[in-house]
Amino acid sequence: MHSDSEEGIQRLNQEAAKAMLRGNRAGLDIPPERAIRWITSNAAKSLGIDGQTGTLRPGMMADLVLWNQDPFSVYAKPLQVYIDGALHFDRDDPALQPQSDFELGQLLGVSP
Amino acid sequence: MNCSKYFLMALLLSAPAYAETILITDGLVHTGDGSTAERRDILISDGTIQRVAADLQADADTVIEANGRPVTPALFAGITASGLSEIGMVYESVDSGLNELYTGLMHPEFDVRDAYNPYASVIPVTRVEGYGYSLLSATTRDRTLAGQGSLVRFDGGFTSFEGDTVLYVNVDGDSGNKLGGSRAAHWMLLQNAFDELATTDADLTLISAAGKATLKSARKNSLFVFQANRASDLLRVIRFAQAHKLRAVISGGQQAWMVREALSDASIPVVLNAMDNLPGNFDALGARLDNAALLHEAGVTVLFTSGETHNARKVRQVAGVAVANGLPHAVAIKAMTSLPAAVFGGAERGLVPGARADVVVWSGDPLDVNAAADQVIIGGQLDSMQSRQTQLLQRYLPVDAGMGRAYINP
Repeated sequence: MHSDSEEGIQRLNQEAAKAMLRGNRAGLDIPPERAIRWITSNAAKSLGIDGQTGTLRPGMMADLVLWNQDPFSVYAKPLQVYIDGALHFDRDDPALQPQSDFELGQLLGVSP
Repeated sequence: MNCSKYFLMALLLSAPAYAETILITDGLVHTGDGSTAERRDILISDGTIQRVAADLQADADTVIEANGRPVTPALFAGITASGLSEIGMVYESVDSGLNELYTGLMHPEFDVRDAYNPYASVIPVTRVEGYGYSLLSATTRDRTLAGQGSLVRFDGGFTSFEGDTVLYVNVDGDSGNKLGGSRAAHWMLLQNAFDELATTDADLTLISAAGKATLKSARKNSLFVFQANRASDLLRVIRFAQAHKLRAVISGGQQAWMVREALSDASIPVVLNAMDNLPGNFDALGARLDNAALLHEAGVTVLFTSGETHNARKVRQVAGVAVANGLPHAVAIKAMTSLPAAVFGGAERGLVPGARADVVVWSGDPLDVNAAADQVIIGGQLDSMQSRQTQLLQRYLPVDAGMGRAYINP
């Protein structure tokens, strides 16, 4: 699963959900355990790193996402993202929500 | 052929066959007015919703057993150039914007409805995904006052327009770039154009006599859609609209959350893309996923658009993202169904007796990506659920192509 859009790459789980739905409605039989490969292990395979990442198996790097619900939904949100075993994003912890240089110091003093 | 035969043909071509009666049983009915969905039956005839109630007893030509599936009014596809553009790079197929004119800086008299083609392939492509209407847009090219459009129904009619005439004015960072080299210069020119309306002289380098007449009438009768994202531009729109007593709508509004109280006080609706969460340019700094929720909480009317024509069907995903980030589900359904018609002056679109029967039965939650439209009804008639894309699928899905794909004609 791929997107050349800066919006689309943020929501490949939703794009995978659409493709799975449309495939199933066209008469194919695509279970979620297959569709999840489109945005996990198949990507690793295409980069030649499926021996290190892309699946949750003993011995693989601990790159994983904790979701608040089934990821094949518009309402799904990642709660935590681990890269190589280290927590790199946490929805409830502002200290673990990185910001680009471009945004730093903009709209000073503004908050909802 | 004799005359009566011609007359009969004309009748058949002009009047849709309204004989069909459709009964939808046990649907999870989203009325589209912001209320909670309830299990109901819906009776449709003469192109109109006749009754909505539990356990309706009625003879119908077609019965659709919804079995608890959601039923909504046909959705609003957002602000699009549907029927005005086939392929962006094929210039003769694009009619959504005005450019290469050597006269006048502003042409409010430009009206995209003159070029509308109901047979554009994107219309069935969008309709089979559950969409019944759109706001036809004049897009900015080298003129910031982009022209006129209005609501259009996706019922295949050549002149299926309704509601108020809508004028599009681009006042974002790009407007100054196009006209005058500064946003301030652009506002100066807009101000001059409106000042001209009070005089009998005509500055033809700015606006033609026809344009002046259009603007004069539009000020009283039309809606002005201002394309803007930056908070300061949004406040300038409010001042301009109040000074000239214009009915204004914002399109874009990525920083609208920053001035939501002012927008609420001025009763200016915002048409936004709830997926806009990136600082793509300086006008979009601070773009955030809960923009719609924050605006709604402040009392601002929120509508959705995807910014796309050829993927306008994506706008229900846009609304879903807004719900995922705090907007109440029933509010989003209203914003996707009846509310755009109300804002832009169209006919009632809720699932209520007397409303036009543009109705969709869904496989699941209409705002989620794991559901799709099972059956679309437009003007009280079952849609074929066919489009160029469904037919391409039917042609290319079979493993065995037989004599060749060109012989597979769905």
